[in-house]
Parts: sequence; structure tokens; C-alpha cells
Amino acid sequence: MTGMGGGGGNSSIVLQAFQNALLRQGSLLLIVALVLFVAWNGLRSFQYRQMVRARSGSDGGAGQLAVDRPGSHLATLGTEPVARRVARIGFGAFWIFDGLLQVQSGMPLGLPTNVLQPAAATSPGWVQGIVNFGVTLWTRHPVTAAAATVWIQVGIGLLLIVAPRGRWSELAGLASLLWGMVVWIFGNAFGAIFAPGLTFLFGAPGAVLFYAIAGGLVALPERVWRTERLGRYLLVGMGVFLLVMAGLQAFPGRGFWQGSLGGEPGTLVAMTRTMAATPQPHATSALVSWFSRLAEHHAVLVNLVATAIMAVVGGAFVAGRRLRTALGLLAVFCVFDWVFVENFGFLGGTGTDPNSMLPFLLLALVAVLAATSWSGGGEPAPKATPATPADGPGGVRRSWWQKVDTSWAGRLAAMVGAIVMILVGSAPMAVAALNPQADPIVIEAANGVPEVANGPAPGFSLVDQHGRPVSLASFRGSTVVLTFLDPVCVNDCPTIAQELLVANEQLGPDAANVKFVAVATNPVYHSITTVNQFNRQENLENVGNWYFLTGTLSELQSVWNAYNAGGTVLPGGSMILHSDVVYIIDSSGQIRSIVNSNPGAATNGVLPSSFSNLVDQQVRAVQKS
Amino acid sequence: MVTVFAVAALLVGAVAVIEHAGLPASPSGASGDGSVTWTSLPLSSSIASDSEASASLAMGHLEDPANTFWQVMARASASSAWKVATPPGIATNGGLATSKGTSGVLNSVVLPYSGLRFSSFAQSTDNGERWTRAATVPGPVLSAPDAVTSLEAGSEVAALLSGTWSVADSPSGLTRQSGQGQTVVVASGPLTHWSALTTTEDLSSVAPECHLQALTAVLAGPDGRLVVGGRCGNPGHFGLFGQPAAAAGPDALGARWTWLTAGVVVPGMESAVGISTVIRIDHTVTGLGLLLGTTREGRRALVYVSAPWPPGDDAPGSWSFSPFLPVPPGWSLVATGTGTSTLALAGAVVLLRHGAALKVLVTGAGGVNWTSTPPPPSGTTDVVLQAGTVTALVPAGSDLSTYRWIPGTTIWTKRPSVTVSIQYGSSN
Repeated sequence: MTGMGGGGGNSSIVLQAFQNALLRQGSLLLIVALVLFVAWNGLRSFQYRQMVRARSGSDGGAGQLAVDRPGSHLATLGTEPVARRVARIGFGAFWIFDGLLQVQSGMPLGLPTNVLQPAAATSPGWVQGIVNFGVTLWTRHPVTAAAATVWIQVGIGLLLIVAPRGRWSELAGLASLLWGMVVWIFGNAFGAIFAPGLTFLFGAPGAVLFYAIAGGLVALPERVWRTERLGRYLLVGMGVFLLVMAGLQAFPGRGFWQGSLGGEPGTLVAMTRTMAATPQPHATSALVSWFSRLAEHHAVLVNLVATAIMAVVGGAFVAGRRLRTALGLLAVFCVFDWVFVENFGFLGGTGTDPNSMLPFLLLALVAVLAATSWSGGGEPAPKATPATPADGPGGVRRSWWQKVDTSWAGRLAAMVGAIVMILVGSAPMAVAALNPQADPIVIEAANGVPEVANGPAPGFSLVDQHGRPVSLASFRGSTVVLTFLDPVCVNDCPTIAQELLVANEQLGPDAANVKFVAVATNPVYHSITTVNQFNRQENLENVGNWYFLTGTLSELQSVWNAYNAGGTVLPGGSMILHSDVVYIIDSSGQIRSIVNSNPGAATNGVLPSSFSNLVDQQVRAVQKS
Repeated sequence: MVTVFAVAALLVGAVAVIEHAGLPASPSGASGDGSVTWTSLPLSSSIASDSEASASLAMGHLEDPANTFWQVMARASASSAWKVATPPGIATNGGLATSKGTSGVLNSVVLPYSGLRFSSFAQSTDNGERWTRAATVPGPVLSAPDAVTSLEAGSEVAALLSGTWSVADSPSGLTRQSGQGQTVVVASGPLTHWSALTTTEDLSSVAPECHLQALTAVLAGPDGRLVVGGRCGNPGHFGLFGQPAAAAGPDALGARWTWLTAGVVVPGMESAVGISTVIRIDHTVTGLGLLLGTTREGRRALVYVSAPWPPGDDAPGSWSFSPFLPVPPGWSLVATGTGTSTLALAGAVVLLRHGAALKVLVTGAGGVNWTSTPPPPSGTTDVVLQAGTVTALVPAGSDLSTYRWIPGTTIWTKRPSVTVSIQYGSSN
């Protein structure tokens, strides 16, 4: 139920950028699709005209098209096994569905907090460390990552569906396997299998693992599907999995046998209550609430039934007996659980998939089909007839246009389109993964876009951290990044200072003509010693263009007033109240832009550079103008 | 059949392994203030004379560090009302400690919190009405009630640092002295130039028999000489170190300190395996008073020690010790207070807690015995011993209720409450 925590983080700035990105990339894909369609249609038209022309003469069969003959491309491959077709099309549809879920407006900002971090929250530290890579990537590049995921998943789904045979199809399976594992590891925290409370009823080991397994199966050579062995292995694997899950469900002390535990809800009750609280229509919430009450009052019965069904179906799968009955029982169980426990899996604004029950059921169907219908599972390919340049009836040499199978060409065009779609998603994602700097839009989402200004910056005369007199006028000729920092501030100011330090480093040679200036904003603690301690703490001592200015209280207060910077003493053990603002002042002393520098949740910890990038963006804009 | 058993065994094994891997880690053991070795000293504390008292305690939403704000409360006599005297200009979420200098000066030091990694100091000459001397300390101050000391207003200040510190050779200078671990630093005048005075390593060398493990308290004596308390790992010994008589403050840089308690052994600890930690040091009417935390063969106890000033090793017989106050297993030391008075109850007061149960114990004048008060009000987090009476401080969010116990009575009498204007969310 990845992501059913409510669609938080729905900033309009990010949402608009997300929609623009989807529109831009969608337009590109549309153009590609049009080009491919025009090419395919042109080929068909050409072929038709040539055929009519040829048949109007007596070409001795040269007018026959490739698709009309038994030796055409698809015909040479024989019939696709039923189980493989079900796996390919079924999981292709799941990928497309998941890709469309990624279009939800809450995804860019909500996925890390609603999906990725909760998935890893109760897992061991090493799992959290791995997931943190995904969290960091997504949080730093929310628009790129969200849009990329849409195209990658829809593209994989399309490719699975439109590429039925051969290497293209195997490539689709491989893509499904690889992307599925990426999502399972970095997005699902290994399906939380290392966390306490693991239960099949609630989604373990993660839906996307089944996508990956199905992808791996599709990637296998087709001959593997033509024996019942694959189905048998798959059934045994799934059967063992169900038996282990049944054992876990029945394991004493895990809270599944109790409706309540010392006044607290039992494990299943707590889980379903959480699901019922997810933002969703009342009707779906009522279904889960009903089951939650049932589990609370009849915990033993509910757990007994669940455990027994898993054990019976698992046993049947392992034994390879009564498979159709077991599959029917599993279908009832999975659909019931999907509706009443997993709560459909994708509600809440940041749901990323329909949860595990339906994919597991589909995989079980594939396994049963593969194990039982091998005789009807497709016909082996006929002996390949070598394509020769002169394979037309009567040994007549055929033209190139006659050899092209246009239905296959249409599929090929669709496959190329799907691959382009995957590339449109994966290329920016790869670039984002290599870029450790957060996109400026992240800080803009939190604080708003910088305010454009154009007026003279109020002058001041103070001293720097070395006791040397400094005035705003003395910085003429340089771009000034001016801010107000409390040297004994416990949260925002150290973060802002680090952001400015990174901004300075990122500017590279452009920083030569930039001064980073902070004015001490604390009426009590503002001595030169104190600002130097802050500089030492933040490793700013040796930054040549860093100036932490201070002065007498009256001097400082006049600067605070001129810039509306605050500096108010709060009672009760609080730090000083002051503004978190950065002024970008051009070389002639004009304020050109005002950037809200409140780090808040946008830059703390995960995003150490979004604000830096925004400042650099503003500085470069001022320098160029 | 063998196959069935093997599969069953594998399944059971898999379930057990997965289940074991999924079990949450068991909660950690003893809390800091309940540790056997007194490695963590409670910051909730008080210091009082008959005419003035101050207390440091946490208020606000105590379950949330970002909304826990430590406050200084102050009052004049034991019958007057408490007032808020928290030093302004800095967030106190990390805790604070207060001390009394001579001439009624009140010192406060705020511990670092979150992104801030050094402490700040403030001084008041009117018992917290106004804080007129403010400066920053070149590192994080030790989390201990007696981590800072001074004499009269404007004179030198000494602080006990713990962690990474650095001092500049001038206010704007880049070259500096830096270090790690516990260090006593001193400064005078505007407190812009701090100097490292001594460290745990320095003092270990003058007291090899102490097996000094840590420094825990600092106090400026009446003549300006500093005394530093510590934790000795050698049974019976306790660490109290003093500057040479000829030098005081920054002038004593490089001077060799003396182990004031050389040859002084806590009675009953001679042959035991254990440690002694100086938890509090304060002036008394006749000299010094020390609250020691001891561990004897794994059992903790508190001892109050009285000593003359200067507490030289030339008169070991003049040290007097209270009986051991056993701290039963499961009980934690929550708060400590020192009270200077000539009345029947004076010396030290301690607050012990075990779950919701609380105990308050007070030493008699001269630390000759321990007296138990009636159980203090529920929620008490700090106690004050002033003018022979004990006050219990009970915070609840922004409100502080106060109760007073007078010896010979069996009840705590409610006194006026105080409301602190706490700015919740300001440190988030």
C-alpha cells in the first residue's frame, strides 16, 4: 500500500512544473508517435500502390505481400504460449496503471514523505540507508523524478504489450525486471520484508516484486515456456512463499491473534484502521472499517481463516494437485483482501500501485497456466524457411517492399515508440541521479519564487569579523548577497550559512566578484568574538568573500530597521526573532531580488543545496544584466 | 516422507528466521541519571542562600526537545514569589545551568542545541531581573549543574567545557588553541578572550591515586582560586582540585594544580570497589559543601561532604561526611539543590524518582544526616532548599506550580504559581 498516507506536499509551483514537464515530454512523444505512424502509413500506402500496379500486369505472384505468406515474420515464430501472453499483457497493464498513478499531483513532493520514508521507517538501518538514496534523489529533483517515473512505467507497460515475441519482448521483460527491482529496493524498502509486522495480508513482499518476477519470466527464452517445468517451479516457489507467510501469520506473539493488546489495537486491527483513515471516498473507507471491526471482535477466527487459506493454497501449489481449485480459492482470498484489507492499494493521493494481491493472483494464474496448459501453450515455431532473395512463387525475385510485413512494421513502430518513451523517462532520471545539487524549484516550492525588486539598498557602516570598518558603499562594483544571521541561532542560521557557503563554491570563478555579507541580528550576543565563533562553527573563517558584520547595538538596530530584519527578543528561553531573507544587490547598490531564505523542511538535511542553486541563479542573472 | 519433513523443517526455520529478524530491538538499559557510574548528572538544580534563590528546570512540552525550554526561576526570600529570570537572546532547548558568584551575582550558561555547537554565558547582578553581561563561551559547556562559576560582577568567569572547543588568540584572530574533552576555560572583562586553564589530563597527572575519569564541577572560591571537582575511579578517593594559592584566574595559566583531597577517603569506601563523583560544589557558611555520588560494589549512594576553606590537604581531619544515602535500584537522581544557611536544614537537597514515585531528602546543617520530607507533589522536577524550608517546583507546560514544605509538618503547602511566556515552535 505504498503511498496511502495522503497526498502531502502539493505545492502549486511544483505541480505546475510537473504538469509542464509532462506536457513537454508528452508533446515530444506525440511527435515521435506521429513520425512513426506517418512512416508506417507511408510504407503501407507505397506497398498497396506497388501491389496494385504489379497485379495489373502479370508478375507471376510478385504482387503477393510478405504478410500473406506462411513465411512472414510472426508466422515463423509459431504461437505464443498462453501463460506467457497472460504474464506479458497482464503485467504490462499493471505497469501502465502504475505509470498513470504517478501522474497524481501529490507525487513530486509527497512520494518521499508518504511512500519512501514510511516504507523504510521500521526497517533496519542498512535498509534505510539504501532507501535514503531514493529519497534524496527524488527530494532533490522532484519534478524530473516524478515525470520520469511516469514515462518509464507507461513505456515498459506498452513495450510488454506491443512486443509479443522475440528479442524485443525479452527486452521488455528485462526492462520490467530491472525497473521493478529498482522500485522494490529504493522505493519499497525491499517490500518491508526486514521490518516487524511482516504479513502477506498487508502487501508483503511488495507488489512490484511480482512485476519484476514476471518481467524476469518474460525475459526468458520462449522455449522455456513450452514445457511444464517452468510452471511447476513457479508453483512450488509461490507455494513455499504462501506456507512461510501462513507460518508468520500464525506465529504467536505477533499480535494477529488478538483484537486488542493491553488496550491497544491488535496488529491487523491497527493496520486496517490506518488504512481506513487514508483520505478516500467514504464507501471504500467503510469497507475497511467494517473488516477492522470484524478483526477486532473475531481476531482468532479471522486469523485462522487467513492462515488456513494460505496454508491450503500453498500446500496445493507445492504438491501440484487440485490447482484449479486452489487458484479459485486464492482468487477469492486475494480479491477479498485487496478490497477489505489493502483498501484497493492506490487511494490517498500518492498510491503507486494496486498493492500485492492482484499481481500475486495474476502470477499464480500464470504459474497454473504454464504448469497445466503446456500442450495448448503455443505451438513451436515451424522449421524456419531461409529467406532468400528469390523466394516468391515460381522463383520470382521479389522487391524489398514485398518482403516487409506491415502489421509487424506497425508493431515495430509501437515498440520503438515505447522504447523512446522509456528513454524520455530514464535519461533525465539518470542525469538527476548523478547530480547531487537540488533543483531550485524545491526551495521555491517551500518559500515562493524570489521577489523581483529594483531600488537602492539602504546603506550601512559596520565592522567585519576582523574589526575592520565596512560599509555597503565599500562593496560597490561587486554583487552583494546580503542576509541577517543570529550568531547563536540554533537552526535556521547555521543552515543558511552553509547554503551560502555552497552557493559561493558553486559559483566558481564567478564568485570573484561576489560578496557574501551577513549582519549579526541579535541584540544580546553580537560581539566580534561571537560572530567569529559562528564563523569557526560553520567553517567560514577562511572564506575570502564572507563578511559577518556587527557593530554597536544602535548601529545594528538602524540596519535591522532599514531592512525590516527584526531582531526582536522573545521571552521564555527563545532565540531572537528575525527575518530569513537574502537580498541580491547589484554592483551599483540596487536591490535586484529578494529571496526567502527560510530553510524549513525544504533544505534541512536532505536538501543541502536547493537554496544555494537559487541564490546562484539570482546572482548570475544580476551579473548578466 | 523425508522430503515432507525436510520441507516442513525448512518452512519452520524460514518463519522463525524472518520473525526473529522482524522483532523490534529491545529497549536500552538504564537511563543516564540512573546509571551506576554517575556519568550523567541531572541539570535540574537550584542554589540558594537565605536571601536569594534560583532554580533551573525544563518547561514546555517535555516530550519534544524542540519545544522544551529551560527556564531560570528566581526569588528573594523563601516566602517571596518566584519570577521568571531566564536569560534572553538564545534558545534554551539544550538546557542551562546557573551558579551564584559572590556579592549576589547570578551566572547562567546555556548549553548548545541543534545546529549551535557552543554555549553562551550571561550574568545578572540583581538575581535575574536584568542580564547585563553576555558573551559566548568557546565550546559546549558540560551538561552539569556546576559547569560555570564567577566571583563578583565583571570579574573572571570560568566554565567547564566538554567536547570540541577552540579559542582565538585575539577576538578577530584566526590562530587559536583548540582541543577536545573536558577543559576549564577562563576569561575576564568583556569575556572576549578565553584561555584554556586545565584539562582532565592535566589534573590526572597531579592525582595518580584518584584515577581521574572526568571533570564534573567548577567553583570559584572566596579568594578567587578555582576548585574543580571530578570523578575518581579509585575506591574511596574523590576528586577535588585547586589552583595554587599564589595564582588565580588567567594568571594561573601553566601553574600546577593540587589535589585537595589527597589522603582524604570517604569513610566506608576504603576497601570497596567503586567510584566517587562530585555532583555539586557550593560555598557554605564555614567553607565548602560537596554532594558526592558514590558507587560501592554496584550500589549507588549519595554523601554530603563539608570542608573548610581553603580545603588544603594539611588538615584532612577537618572533612566531615554525612551517612550514605542509598539510591535503591531503579531510582534516579532527578534534581539537586544546595542551600547555604545557618538553620537546621542546610547543605543539599535531592529529588529521587522511580516511575511516578518521588522522594525528597535534605541534609541537616553541616551535612550530619539526611532527612526525608513527605512525598512531594506529583510532577515535581526540581527542589530548592532555602532558609530551612524546601520548595518543590512542578512544571506543566507553560505553568509552574510551587509547593513549600516546612520541617515538622507533613504536608506540602501550595504557593503562588508562575506562568512563563513560552514561544512554542520557535526552535523548530
